[in-house]
Amino acid sequence: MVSVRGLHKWFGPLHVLKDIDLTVAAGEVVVVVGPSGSGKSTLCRCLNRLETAGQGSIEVDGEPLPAEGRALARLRADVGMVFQSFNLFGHRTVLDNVTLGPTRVRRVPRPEARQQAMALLERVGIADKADHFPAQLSGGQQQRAAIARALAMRPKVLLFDEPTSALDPEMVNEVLDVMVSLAAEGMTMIVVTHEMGFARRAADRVVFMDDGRIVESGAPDDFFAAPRTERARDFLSKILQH
Amino acid sequence: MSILKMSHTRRRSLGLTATAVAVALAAAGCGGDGGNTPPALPGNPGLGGDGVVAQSVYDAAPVATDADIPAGSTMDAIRKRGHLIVGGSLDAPLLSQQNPVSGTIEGFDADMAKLLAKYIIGKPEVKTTTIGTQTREAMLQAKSVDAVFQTYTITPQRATQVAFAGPYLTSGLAVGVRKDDTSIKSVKDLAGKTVIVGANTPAVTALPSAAPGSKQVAFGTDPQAVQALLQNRGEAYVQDFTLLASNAKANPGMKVVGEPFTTEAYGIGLNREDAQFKEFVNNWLKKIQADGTWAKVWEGTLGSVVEGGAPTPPVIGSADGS
Amino acid sequence: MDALTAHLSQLGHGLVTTVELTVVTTVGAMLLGIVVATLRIAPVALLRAIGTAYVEVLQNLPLLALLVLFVFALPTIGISFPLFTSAAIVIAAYEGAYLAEAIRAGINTVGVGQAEAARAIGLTFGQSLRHVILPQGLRAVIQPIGNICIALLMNTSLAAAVGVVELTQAANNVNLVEAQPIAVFTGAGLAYMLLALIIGQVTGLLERRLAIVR
Repeated sequence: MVSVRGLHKWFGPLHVLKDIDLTVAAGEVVVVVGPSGSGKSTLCRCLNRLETAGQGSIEVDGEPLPAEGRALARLRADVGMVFQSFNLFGHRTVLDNVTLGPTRVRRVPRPEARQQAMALLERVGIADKADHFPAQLSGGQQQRAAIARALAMRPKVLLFDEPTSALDPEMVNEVLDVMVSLAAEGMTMIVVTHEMGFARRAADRVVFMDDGRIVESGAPDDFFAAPRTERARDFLSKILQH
Repeated sequence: MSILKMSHTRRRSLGLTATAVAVALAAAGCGGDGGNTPPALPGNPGLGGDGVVAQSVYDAAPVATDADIPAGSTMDAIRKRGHLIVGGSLDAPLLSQQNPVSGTIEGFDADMAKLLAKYIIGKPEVKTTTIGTQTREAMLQAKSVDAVFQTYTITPQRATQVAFAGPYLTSGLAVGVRKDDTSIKSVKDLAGKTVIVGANTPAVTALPSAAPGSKQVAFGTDPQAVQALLQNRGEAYVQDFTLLASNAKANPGMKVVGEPFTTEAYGIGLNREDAQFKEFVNNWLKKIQADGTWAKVWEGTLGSVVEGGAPTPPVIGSADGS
Repeated sequence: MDALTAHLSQLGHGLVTTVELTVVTTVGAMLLGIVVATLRIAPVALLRAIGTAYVEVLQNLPLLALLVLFVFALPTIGISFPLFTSAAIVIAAYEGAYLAEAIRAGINTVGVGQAEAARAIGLTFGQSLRHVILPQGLRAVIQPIGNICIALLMNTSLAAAVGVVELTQAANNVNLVEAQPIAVFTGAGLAYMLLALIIGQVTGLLERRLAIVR
């Protein structure tokens, strides 16, 4: 579904992604972990071209990423993204946030789009907040609304860029539960996160990044039980201590 | 020559900006004939004199005796102050226009003001405050200026607000048209037509009765109005006869048709409460009319564009409101 | 007071012209302001340069000079509009530059995350602007936009310099007959003040109605 070959990315003199190769099959759930500044968020953002690749190729569903323009907009419609800071549209109700994409991009008639949106809000558990504005919701509710917004486009792949990092601890689980159920239904997902519990429960594969490179990659049980590299061991010991 | 100091009001300096732009346009060849003729800069017309009153006229001009100036009078205050404060214009060709080279203000109104200053003080010391037609009455009532020399038409309505000495000049409105126009021969032919006028000039109030149904388009300065006529923004330009004559001399594209159709009696605007000063100024006017100074000033200014000699000066007190 | 009441229809016509000029010009300036602000944040460098050049040129010339140039210089190259139209075009173009800057300031208050989220669901640049960025950006600067509209109202009086008989010119014409500047211009001033108050009220109403819940 997603195929990355020899990807490099520079921010000025800073070499943030170094020769990344990554293939994600349809229905696969890949969790990307690693210390801050390891380049995992940048990799995620490159996949729908919110960041442009410096070098290398990215293919989604067999098609190379188009340059700026309508073709890129079409591709992004197929690649959903959930942000760390939710980024719900502040001037629109939760329902209007969810229907905007389908009505404007997919040309779904408004009544149909509303019906589908309500079903999605029902599914993430905030149907009663449909007519509220984002600022009236808790962080967990906002993130679930953002997931509904991404799902409304019926994406082929969903990207999660640290979806729980901005949440109060008591709200983390309500979001993770939604993500786990999505994974169980066969959604192709690439998740950048620090939630090792989620990686254990839902991931097919864990990718460990450090200093712009993919250092290690494997099934979650193997990775957490017996990391092969020194850096992965070091990273795990730091975050699993408490 | 005296050094004239000017104080500009904000609105007036905006007007000057517009004039400067219009002059720049003319200088860029927009309205000119492109030949060797200088561009249309009114105030530098090409007939007879050079538009400047000779120094000898000033030297010979009368000065009031001490007996004419009682202690405590307005004249006394002006003499003690050392200069006359005049409300006027800087952009009226032949009447009151600042010479861009020398900086002095030239024209019939400006020279009359300087001669009045000489009569009171002994020297032609004038401080000119540029004022708009909107502010003349208020400036006189507040005594911000001693006198207004600004082709100020004497009317009964205005005479309820200010006093008029004079009339010191009579003129009339005439009709200017494009050179190739043969359909308009007098003001009567303007009925129902679009007519260009100068904003805040007597033409604004005179046209509705002289040319019924005519539509007015007003422009802020004389060069703009001429440009507008040449650019077909109206069928005719109605303005003071002498000003039109000066424009026609400088612009081959326009001509004056017919005789003046109104009589405008211009007065010197004064504070309404000060009957003593009005009588003093009227006496001065009679003196300079009688000794030929008035005629020399006319010839040096307006006479440079109008053929024939100086007319008979108007009779003091002859206008309704003077 | 007689000076005013005797010329009510003349002053009324001037007032109507002022209102017409203000409304037409405000609509034109808003559309232009949005277009120019969009150019200034466009992803293409050439478009950004055009937007910047527009703002710099128009903000750095006096409105009166623009009016006089437009009315007197364009006919020499064969382009001539009626005077009201000329004044409306020039004032809209001029105020459009100021509105563009206000709108751009509004756009800058919208977080970059909003634009990313809009793009991430497949909206094009134009759709992102229309449905996400501008609705939030404009709400943030309703008050400054209202102030520019009041300045625009006052600037319509400069149209008198190019032959449009609006309120100021009508007051001038009445004063020419009546010679009562204080009464006449106090009346005209009150009319301008009333119009400015109306704009202020509408601005306040819009700001309350359209406030984003935060």
